[in-house]
Amino acid sequence: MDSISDKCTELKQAYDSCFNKWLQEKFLQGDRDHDGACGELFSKYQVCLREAIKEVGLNLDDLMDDHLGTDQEKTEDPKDKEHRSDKEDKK
Amino acid sequence: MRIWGTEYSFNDRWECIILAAFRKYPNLFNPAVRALDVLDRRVDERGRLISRRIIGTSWSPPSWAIKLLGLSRMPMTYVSECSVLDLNNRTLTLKSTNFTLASIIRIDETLTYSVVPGDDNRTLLEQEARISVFKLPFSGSLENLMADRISSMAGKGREAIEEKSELIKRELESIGNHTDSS
Repeated sequence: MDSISDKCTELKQAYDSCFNKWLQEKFLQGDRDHDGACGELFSKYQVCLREAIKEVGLNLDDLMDDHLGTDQEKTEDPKDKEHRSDKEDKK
Repeated sequence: MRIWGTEYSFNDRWECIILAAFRKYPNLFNPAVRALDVLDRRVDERGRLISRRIIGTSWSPPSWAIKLLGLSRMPMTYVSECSVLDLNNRTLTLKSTNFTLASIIRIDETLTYSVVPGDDNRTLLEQEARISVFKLPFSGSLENLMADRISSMAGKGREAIEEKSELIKRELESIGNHTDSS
């Protein structure tokens, strides 16, 4: 998959190859050392990407803002569940 | 706000499906996805893999909405996504929200891949979207339009995962065969 900036695509794909291999062969087997395996490629890619984000006009701080509630799970309003629709379960 | 949700079971092991999920793009089923970048990736203190990505799509709100809002047609719409891969609980949760036009439309989507209880060979995908359109008199109809689109995209997304999962299984088989013969 291409990067948002053409000039980062090559670095991004080099990192992706490393990551996909690491995920399959290491992480799923219990080895959690991402940085040891792919950290160098990730850093090179990030230097290019950070510059590209500025050029595109996106705000990195906003992108990194934890609005998604990953670390602090959002409490779910039970009322919302009643509005669920389109239940399907194809087996 | 409109809330939409669905569930689906894949006939593949969780490990294979989550590998497919990380390799979902590019695919022929979601041609609107044009770019994808990883902004951050780390393993947290609980051993979970945390990823933050930005996804660039050529999707745009309907032209009547763009006109009414006085916007110019956008070349790219950006979505920010954070995922947690938890091997202990065997879950992969991806939460995304649109970054472009966030003051007018907000689509929060959550996808969770987990093992079907009691069946290690199947994987459950739970998907939910919360759609809010602000500051518009016809927000309800636009929210319904978005929900219909998400519903149709969800089916295409599952096809993409199934295709990638088949690819990964073939790769694993060829590695296995290679190992056997060496």
